[in-house]
Amino acid sequence: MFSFKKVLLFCFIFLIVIAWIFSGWPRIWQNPPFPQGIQKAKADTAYYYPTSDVAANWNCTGGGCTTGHFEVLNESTLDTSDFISAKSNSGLPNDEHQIDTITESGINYLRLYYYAETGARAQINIMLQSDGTTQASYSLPPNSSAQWRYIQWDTSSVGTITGEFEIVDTGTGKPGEGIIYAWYIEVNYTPGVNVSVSVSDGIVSYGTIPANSSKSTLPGELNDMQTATNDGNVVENFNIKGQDATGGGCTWTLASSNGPDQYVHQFCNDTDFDCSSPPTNYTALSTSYQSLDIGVPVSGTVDFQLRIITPNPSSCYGEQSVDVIIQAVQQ
Amino acid sequence: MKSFIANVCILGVIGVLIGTKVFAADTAQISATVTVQNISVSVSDGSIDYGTLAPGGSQDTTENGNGDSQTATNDGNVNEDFKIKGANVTTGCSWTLSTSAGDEQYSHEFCTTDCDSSPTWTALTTDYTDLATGVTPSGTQDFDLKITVPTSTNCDQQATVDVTVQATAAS
Repeated sequence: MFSFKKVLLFCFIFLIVIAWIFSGWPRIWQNPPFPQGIQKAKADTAYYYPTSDVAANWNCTGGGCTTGHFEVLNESTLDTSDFISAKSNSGLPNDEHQIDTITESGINYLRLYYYAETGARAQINIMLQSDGTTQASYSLPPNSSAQWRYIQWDTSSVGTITGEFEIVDTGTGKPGEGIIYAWYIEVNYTPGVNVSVSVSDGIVSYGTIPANSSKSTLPGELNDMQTATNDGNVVENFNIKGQDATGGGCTWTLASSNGPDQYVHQFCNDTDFDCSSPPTNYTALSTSYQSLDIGVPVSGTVDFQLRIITPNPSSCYGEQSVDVIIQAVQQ
Repeated sequence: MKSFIANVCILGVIGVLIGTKVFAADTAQISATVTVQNISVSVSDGSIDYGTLAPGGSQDTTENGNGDSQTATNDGNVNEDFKIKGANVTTGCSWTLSTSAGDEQYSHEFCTTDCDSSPTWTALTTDYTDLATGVTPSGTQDFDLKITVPTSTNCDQQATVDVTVQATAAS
């Protein structure tokens, strides 16, 4: 039977291990990182403004009327000199406008923000529609002052989004106007983890060089330094590897020293180290990934030089492909 | 103490399992190429038989001679410079290569332009001298050779009078 003391000890150790894992510190392995720690997912917002008319039935006032109601209502900076309006007793059909296709994924909700006011007897029904179906709505009562308001649709998937406005005559007092000055859609979403890397310019042509000789991308030679960029949305670690060379009539084995049909391909992180005096700070590539740099922030870059040492001798003299692969993993 | 270590081990394994995740990754490729320089030359047909000549006599490979002009070809993958040299005769006879024929002394010359009509002969030495420069890969250089045997010699055997063509990367 377990004693109370043993159970207490077990629980204590369990908590220590769990705390270590989820804190991510101290890290005992950098690439891939372990323990990983808790990753934060942060919501973001995107904005869409009306871009076309589905039905332009209301009266239009202002400079953008000839190009459609959406032009008047598409205002990231509010301008109350142009608007669409409808008299409470006008009987005008609904006015409706569409936005561009929403491209975000991980959507949490949509809000239709509108800047509107109503006079006596005028009620505006505001509808947020997806593929023609109303998903959220609100009836702005008569005598509402002009201000920003919103209606919200909690959803994870969307279709073609439109904003539709209906004038309703409440039949009380002198007829007034319903006026809409601007509207837009706010998309709240949680971006997914995007791990992405690119290399610029991504092409190294060493040309024709003697056997048992070296050439680098340094300014005094090829002058073709490469730059890896974190194109993702998380901090990344960059790894690098080479390959056996083929294509020129024989196969060269990638190795740490050159020999018969055996070549060396080296890299140097020029962002963090001095690469100007090879082989100092140069590391031989292998066919397995090695660390190029760690903790590269979003949009961060790592410059690096490459250096090749040709076989001694080579059994072929055609152009060999000596490609290098950069791998990005989430830190 | 044993149970403490056991607990740590068990929970450590559990922790590793909990903490392990599949990491998203992306790759980018650097397209890199290299070619090893190949310096190579061949001579066609590479064989000349001057025949039997009287002392001090001459023979050449032009159309007016035995018509056996030679062609050096760049078999490498870079531009090359061709050089040429002769040799003293040491097998069978003992002739010294010189700019003119004499006693146990022979001359061997080469020509690269207008060799059939108005040749300009340049004496070979035992050191390399320029035959052609900047010959492109697969490019060729035609040339003729002319021998003048010694004016007097104790040798009546066939003498080997080889010529060597060397290729270097064009400077």
